[in-house]
Amino acid sequence: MTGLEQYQHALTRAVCGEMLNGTDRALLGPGMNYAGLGLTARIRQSWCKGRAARAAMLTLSALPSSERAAHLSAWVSAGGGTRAHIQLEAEAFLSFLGGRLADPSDALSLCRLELALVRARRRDDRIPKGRDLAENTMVRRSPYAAIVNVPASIDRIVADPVDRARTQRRGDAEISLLVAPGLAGQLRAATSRERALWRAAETTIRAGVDLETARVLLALGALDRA
Amino acid sequence: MDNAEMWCGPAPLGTGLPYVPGLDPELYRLACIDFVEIVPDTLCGPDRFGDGIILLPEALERARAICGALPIVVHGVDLSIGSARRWNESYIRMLDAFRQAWPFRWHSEHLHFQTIDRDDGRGEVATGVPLPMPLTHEAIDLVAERASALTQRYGVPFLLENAAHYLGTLPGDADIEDEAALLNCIVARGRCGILLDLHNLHCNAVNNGIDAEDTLDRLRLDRVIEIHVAGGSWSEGFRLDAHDGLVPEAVWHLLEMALPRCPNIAGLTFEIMEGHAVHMGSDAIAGELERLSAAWLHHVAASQATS
Repeated sequence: MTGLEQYQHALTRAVCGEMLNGTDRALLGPGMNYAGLGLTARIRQSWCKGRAARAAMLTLSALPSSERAAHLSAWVSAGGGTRAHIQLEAEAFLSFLGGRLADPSDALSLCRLELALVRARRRDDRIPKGRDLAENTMVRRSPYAAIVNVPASIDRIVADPVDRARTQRRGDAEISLLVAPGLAGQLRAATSRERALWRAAETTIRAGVDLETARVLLALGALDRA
Repeated sequence: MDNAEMWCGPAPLGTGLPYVPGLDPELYRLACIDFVEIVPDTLCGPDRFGDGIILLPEALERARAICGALPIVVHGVDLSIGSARRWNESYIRMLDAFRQAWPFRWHSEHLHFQTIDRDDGRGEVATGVPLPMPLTHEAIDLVAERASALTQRYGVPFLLENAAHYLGTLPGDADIEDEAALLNCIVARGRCGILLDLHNLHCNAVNNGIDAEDTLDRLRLDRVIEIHVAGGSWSEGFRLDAHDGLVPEAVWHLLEMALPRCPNIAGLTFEIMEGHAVHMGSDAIAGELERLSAAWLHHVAASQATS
């Protein structure tokens, strides 16, 4: 490592809140203002938490504030909150959150929905037309689409997360939402045939299983040709 | 070697405002605005591979619809020109595309680093906050070479902005006295100009005990192409480089001191962050722009009288 790299690694460790050894302190020099270094570390933490919070607003809105703060702290401690673009941050943070939220829970449903929306909005290549899809064409799920089950009372959950957490119960009616790049707003209710084909297309299948529905899903970017 | 003979400043533009998507578009039609400063990262989304950024055509078109009648300059944030191993290649690819779509008069970057390479060699990791360069010849060589490459690549002046930080005296080589000396060495070798951020200078004076006016005496003001003025706030006794409000009088005073001594100045910009701009409101922003424009016009008149 060159001297410049050593300095940059030592300063990065310092602002990430790691303990500094004698070598690190020597690299940062005798004029280092450690109060200012501490402030820089707190600014970093605040920025990283803010970036992550903006990236997962829907999911976090369904959590009580203490739980929100705990998840954000855990994410930043794990090195999160630093991605240059908010969509990249969202994908990474929501994947992290998905592994920490109670299963089943309303928050986890929202997390899956928000993650699916982020992925659907990321697809930037042209969505293929579905019209020429033949019965024998093999298709599979697109990684940019999902069918997500959410509680039918989704608006109430978002509006009053604290009350919801206090009285949380499962078993409320659920709705299945299709999330796909080609949909206006990337979102609508899924039909029963779409749900069935989506389940089947977890592995590669013939489009002829339900050609009409396959054409619709392909045109929306929910299925890909295998 | 000083590449002064290979360097010339751009034609003067006047007073500028950053493009802030949430601001009232009417602000960009004010008579006191002569150019717009674009942070192209704000017009980008992630690329399909998930590790870089690409321009979003709809964001670009929205920006052009609002301020496309004015000349633009580019102010970059994410290049990480000071990172020891590599800069942000994805940012360069995006800037290539931006240049094709919307030519700019000059572009600038902060003199800092915000990524380091992983110890295990598996790519890079973001620092999460921009961090200042050490005062070393190694830093000068690295940044000067990259600055020179950028000037050549885009065929317009490239400017480096003096950084704000809270770290006191930065470590370095004995013969590089301070941050002004570091910047002077880089611009001399790197065929580039200076974006003098006077609020950053003010922050460093307050936080790190440097003398702002002495720094102006020693900085290569002949290389200053653009000046930023901005507001800030206080936390734990430190002055924060927050771009969150009105320009303090101390910064206006520094502008008065600096401007007559910058023979190649081409633009003065009032910097404001998006969230704060909307909160601050159009009238307050217009007030700062009018004061900045008056300073510019006074400078132009004084320069013409002298010549």
